[in-house]
Amino acid sequence: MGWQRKVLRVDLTSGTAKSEPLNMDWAFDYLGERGLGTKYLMENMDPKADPLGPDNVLIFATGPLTGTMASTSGRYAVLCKGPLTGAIACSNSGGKFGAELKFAGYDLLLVHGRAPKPVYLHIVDDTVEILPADEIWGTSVWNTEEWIKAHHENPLLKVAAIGEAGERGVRFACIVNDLHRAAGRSGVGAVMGSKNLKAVACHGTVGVRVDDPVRFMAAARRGHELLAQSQSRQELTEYGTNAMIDLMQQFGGLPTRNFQEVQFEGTSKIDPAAMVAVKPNGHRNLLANKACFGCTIACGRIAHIDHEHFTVVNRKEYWHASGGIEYETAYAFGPVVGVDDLDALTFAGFLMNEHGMDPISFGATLAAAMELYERGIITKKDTDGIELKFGNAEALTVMAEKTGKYEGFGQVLGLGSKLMCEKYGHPEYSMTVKGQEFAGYDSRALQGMGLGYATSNRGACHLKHAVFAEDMEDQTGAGKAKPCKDSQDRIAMIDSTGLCLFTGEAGWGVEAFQEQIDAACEGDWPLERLLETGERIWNLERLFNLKAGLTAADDTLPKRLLEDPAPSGTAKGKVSELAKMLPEYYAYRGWTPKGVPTKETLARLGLGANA
Amino acid sequence: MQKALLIDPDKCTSCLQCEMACSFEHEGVFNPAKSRIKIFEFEHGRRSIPYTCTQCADAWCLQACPVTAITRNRETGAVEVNDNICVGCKVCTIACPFGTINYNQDTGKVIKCDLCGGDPQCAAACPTDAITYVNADWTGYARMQASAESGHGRPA
Amino acid sequence: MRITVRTGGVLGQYLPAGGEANRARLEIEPGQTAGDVMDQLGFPPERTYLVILNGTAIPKAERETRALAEDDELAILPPLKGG
Repeated sequence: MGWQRKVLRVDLTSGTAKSEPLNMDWAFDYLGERGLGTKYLMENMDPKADPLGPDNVLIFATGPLTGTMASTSGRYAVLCKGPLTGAIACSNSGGKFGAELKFAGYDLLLVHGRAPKPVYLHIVDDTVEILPADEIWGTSVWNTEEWIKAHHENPLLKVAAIGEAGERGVRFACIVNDLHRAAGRSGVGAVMGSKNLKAVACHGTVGVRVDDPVRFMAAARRGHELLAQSQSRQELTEYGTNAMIDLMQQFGGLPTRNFQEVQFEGTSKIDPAAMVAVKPNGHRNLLANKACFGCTIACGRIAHIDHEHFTVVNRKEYWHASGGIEYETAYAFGPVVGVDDLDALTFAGFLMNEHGMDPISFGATLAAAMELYERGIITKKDTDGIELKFGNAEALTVMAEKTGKYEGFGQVLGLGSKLMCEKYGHPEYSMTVKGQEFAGYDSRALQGMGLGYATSNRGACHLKHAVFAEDMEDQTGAGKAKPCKDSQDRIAMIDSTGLCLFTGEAGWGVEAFQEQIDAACEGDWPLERLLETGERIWNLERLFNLKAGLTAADDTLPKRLLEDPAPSGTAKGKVSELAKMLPEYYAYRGWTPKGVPTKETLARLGLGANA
Repeated sequence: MQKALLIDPDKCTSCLQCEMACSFEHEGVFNPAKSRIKIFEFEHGRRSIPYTCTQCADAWCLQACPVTAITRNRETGAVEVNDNICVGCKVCTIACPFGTINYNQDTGKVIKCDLCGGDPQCAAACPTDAITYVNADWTGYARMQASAESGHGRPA
Repeated sequence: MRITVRTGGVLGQYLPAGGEANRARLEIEPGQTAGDVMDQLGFPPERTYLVILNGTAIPKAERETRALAEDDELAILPPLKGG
């Protein structure tokens, strides 16, 4: 067990929904969530398909440990071909929705085709309905969830939905579940919108079982105890991930003003201390910390906006609490756009969840627009009369709302920075890899991070590798290939279990995952098998991308990071040493110098048929 | 000594480990839909409040049951449902003013918190001590102590 | 001689009391290294830290060998991690 052994397949073109047995050969080879979703994606679509066309397949994938008492068991992934990148998209989310899909009896939900008119899915155990979404199409994520729960008179439903941004094809539109958690990156929300699918609402009463309950619970309890004792877990609980902003500032790797700089003078106004400071009028940003399903870390923030702040002073509908800022939102609405107004950041964060957009890509796209504006390449005539200068908090919040509603210049921002900068004839100001914007770590200060960004299968992503320790110890590119590859494989495995990556950051070694998987799932799952599974998953993702038309030329970084030295911080004077690291990386991966997995590597991983 | 569940909502992060622990203990499966304790979230999760039966000393459900399926456990103080006698009439679910006894369609019986016979699994599973199991005579003690310590604005 | 020690997050607990949050002036002996200071203040040795001396990140080996100087700014920070 662990798995439900059941997949729900929905064809929106024909309006049918049927369940089928889970392919257990694939489950044994790819585990679940990211890995299993990738296998199903490969087998169900042509990687050359148009990401916003009906032949793209949208998959919601849980892991074998989703919905169990293992700590952090709320994770699920959304997979498809990404419209932002043209590469595989695998976006991870927490909250409660993924666990609920599992409790309803499903490992995976596959969505094919395109509905003739807007619809939403209503799933209660075996009962699956495709229902008209007329009343909610064109409205926000928050309104959608409220409407669905009221309409079905079922407050126990969990809802994953898109906002207007996803409906209108904003390239970085995301899927929001449980009001303020998200499958954020690569434009998975736009894919859902292209299928005329507004939301998936789910309630489950079947439950989840494990193969060896006694052994599993012992392992789960050990996992809980490790986290309880961990100092890095304590930090995540108390400060959320935004604890990083002060570290990155001091380290000198904090991308500022579209990566022109690596340190930002305003961090003390938007860091965790600022979030708990009480203003003269009594307002305090942070209200509470919250957890995703099953999580004993609780890094989530709940915050509210000062009622007197310009963004909400006349808008009572935004006076309530909701998801507060974490590190990436802080980076994307703070240093990279030069803004240091905590309430503006928080409001923009609310808008991301309300309208369904990725804050990382929005912020970095806005940063590129600000650079274009400051260089005079675009003017107020282009930007709806808004002064798009770095540091302009009103520009941040006004543009966030315009993009969410797909209005005015928001339609241009909604292209993502790559297409936008190409549109204005200056692709060099787009800070992306494979079309996806960077997260809050500068590749010149963190060399291994740069290699990870360049080689991540879904475009620039900070989560698919973990070489922080090596990057802190040695700020050159030497010896980064091995830890990059090893961590990529390990994380691909973790992303396939149904548990959260942060457990690894908060005290768990790989043994903790191994014990719980081995006890929960049929068969033997020694560590070597799990790590090999991770390597197999990474290579399968690579094969998808190669078939989609990507090449080694796409494993690169923007000129700014390769040629413009970091102006300050511990890496002052450095550029990315990608050219040195990449060949080492390909070799260590068992790939050709052109970045293609060799026949031997594929055969070793059981992917020989793809050679 | 009788003990009672003490709920401190300010500490609840809505992780729902308690809901899984409860269903696992009673049904052998991780299934919040069968949990006797439920977490309620308000204002986008600003407040999350665990709620379950408080084991009334003079229980409405017990009084309402027409077949005397509901009795009080002398040791734990828990109000318990005997599945062998329960006929699923659901009158107890109408009688309880708190809604903490509910019908289970799968079994045809009602379910409620029974303190797991004296070792409540929700409290054991809670990572933040939002749910603890304390002396039933002194559930207010910690709060009284905090109040005393705060001095109510009087000079130290 | 005196140096400034800065830290972040939960590591603030290791700084001597009575300074600004996460920042303290410390009296040290000539020849003492960053490693010595960390041991003195009680930073658990088995944990990972990001150590920045006067704006340069110093790897583990150097923490034990490089002697500190008057008015040095030593930052002992929690490790970087994703988020």
